[in-house]
Amino acid sequence: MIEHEISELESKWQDYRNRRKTLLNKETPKGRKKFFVTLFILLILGAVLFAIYSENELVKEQKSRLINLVNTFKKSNEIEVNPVELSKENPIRKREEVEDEYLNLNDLEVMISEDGAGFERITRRKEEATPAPVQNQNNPTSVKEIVYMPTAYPMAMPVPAQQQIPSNNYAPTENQEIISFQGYPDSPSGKKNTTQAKTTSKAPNKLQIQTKKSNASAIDKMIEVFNKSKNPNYAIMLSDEYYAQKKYAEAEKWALTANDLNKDDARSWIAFAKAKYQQGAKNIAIDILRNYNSRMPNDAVSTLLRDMEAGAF
Amino acid sequence: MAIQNHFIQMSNMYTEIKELFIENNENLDFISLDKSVIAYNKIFSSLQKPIKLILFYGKPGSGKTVILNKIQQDIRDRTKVLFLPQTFFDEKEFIVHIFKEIFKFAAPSEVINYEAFMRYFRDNFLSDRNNSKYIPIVILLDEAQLYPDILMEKIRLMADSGYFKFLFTVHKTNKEDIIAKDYFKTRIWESIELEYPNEQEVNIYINKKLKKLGEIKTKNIFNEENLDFIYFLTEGNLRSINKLLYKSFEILEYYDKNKPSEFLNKDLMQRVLEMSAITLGFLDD
Repeated sequence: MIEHEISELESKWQDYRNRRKTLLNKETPKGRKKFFVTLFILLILGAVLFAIYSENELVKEQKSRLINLVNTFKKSNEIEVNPVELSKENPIRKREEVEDEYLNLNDLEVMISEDGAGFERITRRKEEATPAPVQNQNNPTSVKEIVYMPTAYPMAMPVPAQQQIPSNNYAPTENQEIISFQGYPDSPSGKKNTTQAKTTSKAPNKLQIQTKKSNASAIDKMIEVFNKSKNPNYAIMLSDEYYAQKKYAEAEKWALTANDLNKDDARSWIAFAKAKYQQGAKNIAIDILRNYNSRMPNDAVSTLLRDMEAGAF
Repeated sequence: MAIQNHFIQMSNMYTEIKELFIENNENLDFISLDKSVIAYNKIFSSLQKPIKLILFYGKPGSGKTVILNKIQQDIRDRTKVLFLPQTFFDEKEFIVHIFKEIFKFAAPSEVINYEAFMRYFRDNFLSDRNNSKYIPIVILLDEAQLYPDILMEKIRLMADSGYFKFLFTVHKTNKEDIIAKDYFKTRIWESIELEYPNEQEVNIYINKKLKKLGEIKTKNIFNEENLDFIYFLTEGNLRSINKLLYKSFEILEYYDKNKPSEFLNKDLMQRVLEMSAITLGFLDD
């Protein structure tokens, strides 16, 4: 080889080397291996980071939602608990909210319904209930209670004598109900009366929860939460709340807000249609539901549409 | 003085190594690689069977010619064998050539085509062998895909006569194309393929070539990275390997004579291989 050839070749090789220095060169076996290994590592890394990030976002979102809900609940409700003679023998439990009135077990009645496990529902009608304690008389509210009582089982906890008084005049109310354990499937006959007789001598054990609710502050809080999070779920909740309060214009506004944030969420369409319907715009309500259903068929939308068209809504 | 001697000695070494990779008849030595040994055995076995035509195909540079050379050397003591490494495009040239190879003298002026040749062959060659069992003459044709169809038809007729056994060596472009040709379609009794050697076989090939100059002299010329790179560039094509290594040792020979300081660079061999690959077009410059 002559010198000129070698010089030219060295120059070409230098160009080639300079190009090889670029990242992820695939022109050599090593470079090719490096390229694929790097690609693989980047993919794995990306997947891991994505998983971590997604998880964090999810956890953060759930956490913040929980905190917001707790805060909202704390600020908008005052809970007062009055434990009264809670004994081991009487596992009476109270569920659902009680507003500004105490439960008086003397006002309970035995319902005729009985479920498969022999549970009997004891309910009290508000109108015929014993007047609430004095401190609550000026604050009439709705009351809703469920008390579970194993009345028929031998050695079961005592039940006040007043509970045994069946009254045909009583009708179950939506606001208050007690579920009794009366009629337990294997209850031995003849024991029931004895048990019930015993219960007359003792006062019923009960847990009383007093809650004062401020709807206005709850809505304000919810609006505040929505403004911070811009989560369409809050907008839908607000729409539902206003709808429940029969503030249909507000309900419509919040349904539109939710819809702006997520156009595919059927709930916002339903909320909007219901609000419109209630404001007399039945045709508009039906039109928008049809429009949504043609794009994204949805059972809830279909049902509502059917009801509205039939005038059954 | 001592340094000069050293350079002279080194220069000689690279010159010698370079010449190992020149493709000529001297370097047609068969190097045992798994695939080439399998192909060789198959051909050897087929030639012993009553088969008139054998198709031996493989990609360019897979080592077919070397195997044909080896076959010729190994069977020439048992039977008459002709190896035609060059291609014939004309019937007369072909007939004149094989006549001389068989009879060891120039063909008479009237023997210029297939018919005249066969007549002469029957009258003169076979008559001498009436008392012994006739063993067909083996003719090894290299680059058979280049032969014109009319000549191939005459060759086929020669094979049908039973006096000749042909081995066609064909570059594999597409096996289906080869088999589809009329003269192969009905008569191929055996077809043997030779594939490119794999990476390990390429390493063995290079090492065996280098060992011809002595193990000590050529030890550690290539490291693992160099061998990987050679396979990466050539994909096992032995002809490409020979070209690449010839060029590489030519550059080393130059450095040895003119720029010995280059040998201080421990990556010199890799660089030289890359330079050779650029020159030969295996890498983009």
